[in-house]
Amino acid sequence: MTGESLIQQFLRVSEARPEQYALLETGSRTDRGIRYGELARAVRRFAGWLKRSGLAPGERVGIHLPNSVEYVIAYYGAWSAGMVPVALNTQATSHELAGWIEHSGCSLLVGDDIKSTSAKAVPAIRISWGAKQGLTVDQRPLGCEEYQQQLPEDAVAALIYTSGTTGAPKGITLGHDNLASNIAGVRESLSIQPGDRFLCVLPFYYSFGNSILHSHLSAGATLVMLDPAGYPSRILDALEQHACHGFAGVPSLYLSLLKKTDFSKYDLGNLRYLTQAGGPLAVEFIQDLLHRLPSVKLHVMYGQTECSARIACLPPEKLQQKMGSVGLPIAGLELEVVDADGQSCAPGVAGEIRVRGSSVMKGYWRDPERTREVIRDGWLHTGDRGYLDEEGYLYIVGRQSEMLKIAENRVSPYEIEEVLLEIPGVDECAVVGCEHPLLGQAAHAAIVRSDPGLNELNIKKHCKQRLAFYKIPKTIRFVDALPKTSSGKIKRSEIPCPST
Amino acid sequence: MIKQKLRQYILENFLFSDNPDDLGDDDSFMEKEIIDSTGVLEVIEFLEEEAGIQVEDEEMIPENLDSVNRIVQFVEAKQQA
Repeated sequence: MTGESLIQQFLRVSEARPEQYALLETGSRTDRGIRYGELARAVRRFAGWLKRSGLAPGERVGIHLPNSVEYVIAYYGAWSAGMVPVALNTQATSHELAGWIEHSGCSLLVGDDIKSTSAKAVPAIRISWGAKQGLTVDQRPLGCEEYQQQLPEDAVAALIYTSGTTGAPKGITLGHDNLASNIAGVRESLSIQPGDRFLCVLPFYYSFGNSILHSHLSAGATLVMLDPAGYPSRILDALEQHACHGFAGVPSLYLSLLKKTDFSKYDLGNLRYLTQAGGPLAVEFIQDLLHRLPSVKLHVMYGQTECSARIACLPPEKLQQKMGSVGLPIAGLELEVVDADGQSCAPGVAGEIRVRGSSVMKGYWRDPERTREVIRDGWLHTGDRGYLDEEGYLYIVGRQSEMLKIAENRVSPYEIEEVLLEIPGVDECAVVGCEHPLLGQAAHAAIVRSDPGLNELNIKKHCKQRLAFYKIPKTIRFVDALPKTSSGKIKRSEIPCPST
Repeated sequence: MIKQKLRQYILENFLFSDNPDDLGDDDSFMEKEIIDSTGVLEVIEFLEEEAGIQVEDEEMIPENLDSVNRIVQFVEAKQQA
């Protein structure tokens, strides 16, 4: 643990490098940037505004913004005021947002377009930053009053909502100590240098994007934010245009780059490191990436939001020797693989991965029962299966739980099933993850219907009103019955994926 | 020809509708949140299969791909080139 929180590290870096760009926005919006000195002033002024508005340390502030200068001002401003930012998924439906806003008990929402109906009960503001007018709240310029609240090291720093095993909201509660410790480990693994430029296309509201944001701002690097990320060639354009040193992606993102772009058309001479997490990238694609970018170091990583993001990292110099491994635990974490009785597995023998250390979350927000299910005897039980080799390198062999991994999103099949079962005429259903060439996995639903008039379109249309787009089943098959165990539990493993 | 197939594809796979009025030919896919970021790649795959064209890196831009009419113009220009 560093002893210094991430907001303190950011403010210290801002004093040391006031003229350096902290953030650059590129892509469909007009390119713009903000330097460390100006960003720190905006952060402290927003904190002053929060305090003046009567909000107290510990209160939750919902942030519903895309990756942007305003997102960072809102997030770090909430930190500077001692509050707890709750980053809300901008792809979520109003139904999903309503659940998170209510569960987290947000006192204020910051965003352009708060769709949630329940959000009407919570005050919402719009913030905007420009080089000339500075920071405005609801179009009114802020005064010069700045504020910084001192907090205990283990105070709650953030809530991150992820898909739970049911549709019920699951708020992962991270402390300032958790995040500072994990970010220190990530920075050590990646050797991020002050002045580095890093291209980020992953959303900050997830732990991977969140980790990228904090690890680079605490190191005095420049974060280049690209939006939209839908056009893969734009990623290579931005890497070239901004002479970036680093880039992070999930498997589906690397696959789209490998399949849809020609690296040789771009000057990527500055690119020094890539990070890959969010599920396994097949060895053939790793080799392809290394072949196309021979001088770049690829850091394969493994993590979980419950552990502040990162758990393990494979040093690039070990990549060929340990191909398929996700590496060694990052600094500050202990890792074990255990059998069903909690006993350590011998090298090469698969079991459940568990970790402990200062990066492990405080628990699930207002959900002690669920917290006790995963944190037992001081260990976080990840629900992932893997094995260690003789030298302690970790290999993932699968997930113990039934979560789907769609692009960068973890999705619970139960959450989708709950929405399907709302449809009159859907008697039973089961959702599984099936291989998808662009997304890694996509949701597939097997449905037992009592209304023969139900078709794929009206089922998907209902889902669109209730679920973020990526959660909507890509394929649906109507079946007479679902495979079940003798006790009546659905056997998901026996539900076939469609062949086309 | 490609226009009808494309409209059908967008309606069925992104709007989940069989009502042609739900999709305007000039509707921006991104602004109207019809297609998300990974959906763009699916549309490109569809065009490569159905229209028999290869979409190059520099062509993967909203000016070519962000509405039915833009795509039709783009595909026709590719096919004539």
